[in-house]
Amino acid sequence: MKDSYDVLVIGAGPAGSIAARTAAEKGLDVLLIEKRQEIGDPVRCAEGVSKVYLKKHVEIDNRWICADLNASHIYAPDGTKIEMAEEIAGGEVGYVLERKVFDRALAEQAAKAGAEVRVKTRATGLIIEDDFVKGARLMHLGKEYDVRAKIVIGADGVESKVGRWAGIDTSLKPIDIETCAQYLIAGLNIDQHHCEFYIGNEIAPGGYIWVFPKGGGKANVGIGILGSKTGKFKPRPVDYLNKFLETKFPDARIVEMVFGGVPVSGSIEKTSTNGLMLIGDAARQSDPITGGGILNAMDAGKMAGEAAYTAISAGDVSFEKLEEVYEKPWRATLGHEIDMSLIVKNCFINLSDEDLNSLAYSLKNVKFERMSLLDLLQALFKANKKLLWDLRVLFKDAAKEVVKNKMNAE
Amino acid sequence: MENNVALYCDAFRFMPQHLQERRFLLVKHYILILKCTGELVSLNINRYKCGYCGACVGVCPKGALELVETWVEVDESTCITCGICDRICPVGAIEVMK
Repeated sequence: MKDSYDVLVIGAGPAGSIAARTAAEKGLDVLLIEKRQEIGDPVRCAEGVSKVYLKKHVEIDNRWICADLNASHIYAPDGTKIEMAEEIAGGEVGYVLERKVFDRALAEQAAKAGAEVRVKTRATGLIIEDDFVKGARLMHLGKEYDVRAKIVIGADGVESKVGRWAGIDTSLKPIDIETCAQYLIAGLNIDQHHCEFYIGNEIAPGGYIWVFPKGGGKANVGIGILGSKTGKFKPRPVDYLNKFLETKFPDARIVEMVFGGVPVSGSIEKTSTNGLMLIGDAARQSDPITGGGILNAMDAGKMAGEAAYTAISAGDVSFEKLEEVYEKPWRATLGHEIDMSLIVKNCFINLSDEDLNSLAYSLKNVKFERMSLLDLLQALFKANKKLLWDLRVLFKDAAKEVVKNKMNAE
Repeated sequence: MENNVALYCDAFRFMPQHLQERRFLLVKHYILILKCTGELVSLNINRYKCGYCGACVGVCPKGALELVETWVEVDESTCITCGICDRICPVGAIEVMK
């Protein structure tokens, strides 16, 4: 077994597999490790993704598509329903995946591109010499050994340790995490062409409940609650979910249980250091509003894979180089969207049920298929002036976009 | 304090010979030693309840937790019993022993 590579990727989720695939395609010598014995299992995800963005990274394969969505319905606390067609639904609706198959397919692609894959292999520490990350200490079946690499990519998810070992504090505060529970329900005939979201402080404080069809009448019904709004003497996500299921789907049969934590902290201060890059949930790159992380993770994975190639070919894996080829590009694209979402999140978690109702009411009869972002914001804030002020940054952004579009048109 | 000393003595009795010889060290770090012998645990994780999602690992400010397959491991020497893990656990499987 080899003990020296160009790139060592820790974690074989969507971020890690795409990074490994990209780096291997560029001709680098890559090792992809996964601590679990099965890639993709157990799932910790609601499994919904946008069609357009997914197609950027992989060819769609029906083996891992469970449902094809064309609309999403949002329910306010008083039951007011907002319907959104897929172009405007926030980029997080489109397909519902089977992550167990999807993750494995991505890892297979990385393997096909030439990356070596080792499962049930856990990183227990980093090799740090002269302030540079030079590899990692791995454990497989109880045996520890060292693997050296020019660049280590940390894609070890919400429970990331790689960043901490290198001195980057990635620990999340309770307000920075959505704590989630989800059931896969069967025995009902749930509509397979739209997904549903339920908001409100009564049913899901600081988060929402989702219903994502999963094919064959089944659905993922789950809940995310802001960590700061739950606790020892308050109900847990699983309690809220049971209550919701009792009222909404009393005859449902639970065929799978899923738990998870989703980072909603927004981008962290630093995601790279000498010889190391963090990607995906490990770099807290999930969207603070929707909690969606798959596509951002894949984007970041691709950037990190390419960055690794550029840095290694230049013979410079220092923080300065990685900042230039990875950190800055991702912050300019993904990071910007994440920052905007964070502003909206910080505003929405403080809204009362009445505020949410009035917002929903003002949006009720709007035809979303034909609306631009600016119109949407206008309609939204007719009902709530204070919100207008809190989210003023978004308007600036929307205005910029309008100007840019105009200039492109000319 | 009295209680602590009693606990310490108790732990001391069950200690292996080579540790007993290094008495001076033990006095200084008796809490640590109690933790090492399993007499005192910082966290009580209900393994029948745990959904092994790793959310607790992500919020631990000291990096004292680790998720290995379906098992959440606690590093007793770094845990500061702050209770954040207990607070965000989706099922309530963690109990902090203060």
